[in-house]
Amino acid sequence: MKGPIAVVSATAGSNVGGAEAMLRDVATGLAERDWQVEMLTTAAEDIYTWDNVAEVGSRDEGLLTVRRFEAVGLTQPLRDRLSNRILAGDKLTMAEQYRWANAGMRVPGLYDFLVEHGRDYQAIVCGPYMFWAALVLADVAPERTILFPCLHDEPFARLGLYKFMMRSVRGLWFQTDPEFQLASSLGLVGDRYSFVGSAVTNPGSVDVASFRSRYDVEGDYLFFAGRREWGKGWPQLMEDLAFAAEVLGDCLPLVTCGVGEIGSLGERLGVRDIGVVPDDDRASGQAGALAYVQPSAMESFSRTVLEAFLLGTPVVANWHSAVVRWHCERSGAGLTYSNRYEFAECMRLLRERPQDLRSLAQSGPSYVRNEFTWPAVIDRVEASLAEWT
Amino acid sequence: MRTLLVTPFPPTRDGLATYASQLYATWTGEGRSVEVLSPEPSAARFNADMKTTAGMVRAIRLARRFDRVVVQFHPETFFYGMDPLHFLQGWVGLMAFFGLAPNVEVVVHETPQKAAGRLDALRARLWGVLWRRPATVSVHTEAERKAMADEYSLDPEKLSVIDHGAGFTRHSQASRSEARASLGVEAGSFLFLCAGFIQPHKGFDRAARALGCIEGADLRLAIVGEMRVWTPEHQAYLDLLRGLAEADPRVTLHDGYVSDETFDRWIIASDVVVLPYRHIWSSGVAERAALYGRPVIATNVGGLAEQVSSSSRVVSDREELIRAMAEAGGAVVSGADGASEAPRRRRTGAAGRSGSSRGDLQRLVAERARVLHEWYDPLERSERPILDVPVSDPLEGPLALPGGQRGVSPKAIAQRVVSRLIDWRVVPIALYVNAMREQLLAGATSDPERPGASEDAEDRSASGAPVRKTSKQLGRRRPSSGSTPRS
Repeated sequence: MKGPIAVVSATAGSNVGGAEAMLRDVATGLAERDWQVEMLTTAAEDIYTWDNVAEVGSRDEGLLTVRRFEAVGLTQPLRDRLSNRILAGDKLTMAEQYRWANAGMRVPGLYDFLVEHGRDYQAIVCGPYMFWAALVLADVAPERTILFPCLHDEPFARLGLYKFMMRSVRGLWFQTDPEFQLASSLGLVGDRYSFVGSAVTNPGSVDVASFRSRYDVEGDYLFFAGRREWGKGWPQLMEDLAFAAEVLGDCLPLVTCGVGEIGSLGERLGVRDIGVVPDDDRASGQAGALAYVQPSAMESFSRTVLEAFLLGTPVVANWHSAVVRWHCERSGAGLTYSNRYEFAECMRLLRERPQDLRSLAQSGPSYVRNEFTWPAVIDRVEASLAEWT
Repeated sequence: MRTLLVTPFPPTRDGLATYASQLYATWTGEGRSVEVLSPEPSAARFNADMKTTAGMVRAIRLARRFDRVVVQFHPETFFYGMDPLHFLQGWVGLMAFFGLAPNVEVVVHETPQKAAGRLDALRARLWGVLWRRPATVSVHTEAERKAMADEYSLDPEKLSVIDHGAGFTRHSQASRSEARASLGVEAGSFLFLCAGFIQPHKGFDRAARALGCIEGADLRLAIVGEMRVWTPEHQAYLDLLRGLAEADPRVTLHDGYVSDETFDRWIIASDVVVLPYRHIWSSGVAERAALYGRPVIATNVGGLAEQVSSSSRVVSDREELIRAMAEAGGAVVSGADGASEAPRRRRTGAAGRSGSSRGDLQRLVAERARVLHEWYDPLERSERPILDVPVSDPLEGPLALPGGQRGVSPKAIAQRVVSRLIDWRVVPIALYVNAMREQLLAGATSDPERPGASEDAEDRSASGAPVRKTSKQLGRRRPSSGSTPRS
């Protein structure tokens, strides 16, 4: 057995975070190739409250050993205050940056564990860059830490502490070229980096009729899967939908799954919130949609967009996300919009010429299958581990 | 019964003044005893700047000598501005006026546009209190009545609707041929007219662009009016209209002073009056067009649909405006197929056909979006911030307005006394600081590089020249709060 490898993640692959799900898939992929893999994570599942819902301690889950530590210390007012300063472009001192980083969720038990056992691992894989543990690893085990930055363009990425962190670790694994370009432009890339990519898993079972029946969905609809929050562009999507409805007289209904409030505007627009659903239902919802909308400007890989591609569903996505734009342009399977006028015109096009959009989406499955499969990703991960560790 | 009419009055260049002068003429013609109080020196017997405390006191003292007071309400008459300090000053003055003047009847010509932000709710409540104070409040259309009732939580039954054009009289007796000859309009041409103050919300650019999509050498569009106020935005809009007029010889811009008589002569000379407003409550121009039996093509905003006559057309979007103008002028829409989609298809080329590639469709979206953008915003200002981020709140919440403590303890009594003594200065300051805070929070980092598959990293100025904007200029939206990343 090769390894051992530690994969450090904020949650144990719950379905609310793409980075966490990706880390879990990488861990599983390595374990399937005879690597000894431990997941070091928190007992939390909810990234808003960080309530410790799972049992703290170690247990085997499939091929993985999962060690859960208690998440503590969410000092939200200070965190929010400093976050707002960062978002406003204010320059924080290094001390303030660390105060901000430590004012969020922390995992002291994980720190203790890494101090004691960090050197036992051949490599420690962690992500995304804003996870507190990544900062810890840059201190306690930089020589064996490999970071998936999961970077997207946001003011936090420009903080000095992350530049220090990313240049300190053993190496960086990038998922896409736009992510690497961004990291380079911000001076975050050190001597070692590799494009290991990422992947999405084939949907298990897609049954659109059953989905429609189970969730009482009729007619054409748009679909969005993800967190309904500012960071994912949700409020803007609501405004854009309202504008499209004003321009077109009405707009396609939106069906959404995931967590977060849809808000009062969402309620007025009749947005259908089906909550957190099983993966198969999510895939069925995507497959049955006239289009999948991706309003987030802050994506580092966008699994849901690739899942929609895989299902042959056309994508209408925010141009401001470099990586989603990259996917749409390279695959040819989606349109982008950069303002409410373009969004409204995308909606008009969907209404007028849905078949043309469907035709575009036909190139989606091959794009994903050719470039974003797990075996290829794990090949590159293994090659990188062999070279760096 | 002695009536005091409170209104802007000629010779001011103002639609409301024109309206009031006709009302005055009608009333005096009926033998009523009417005097006029105008906010500025005018042909009225009395004037008082009711934006000032002294002016408002003078107005109240004057009003109390009459049996009935009719106020032609426009915010500019009573408010220096809508910032909290000036709003509060104007509001207090109006509350006093409505309370102390006898039998106040208010005819609302325009209410301030809804402001964004948390102060809006408070302001709406204050407006509601104000509107409940006069004996009657009237508007010109049902749509306005509903909008006002909704916005200010008023009982619709207490708002009455009066005919906007009831008191309108003709300023010109010229015949159509005389009017055309005097204005240099060819006798055989078909003349669309956009008349009124040059302001972006009047949408005259929409008519010029629509004409550009219609074939017909004998079609003409005259844009007649002057800039009511000078601001960079108004100037840019005037420049835009100049550019549109230069681009199409069928469009002429008559920018400058227009007397009431000349204004009416333009209406007489026209075949159709086009009111492509972006927003409006009700239109005096629509009433004047009706006075001379001229049909109107108007956008469906405010109470216009209700206001225009049955021979007129109400349109909802650019395509409908083009069709309405083409049909009115007996012309066809440009383009090979001549269908309603013609202008759009003509402008979007191959992408208008089915079976297009992604690039074609993306270009189609971008081109259509550009047209849609100019329909809504003639100056095509960039809208989308690159990151709709919350900005730092310097106060960590709005300043609480001071209020006296309840109870009879010495401390509570002392606080109430102090509050009474200082509120008149502290409240406006607190409102002002809160407004500044709102403004700060409303500004968001914006994308200085115009993205979009369509074009460019630039906006276009009114004249069409590219203009790079700063992120501050582009800032727009207030983000939702409480959702900053936590991990």
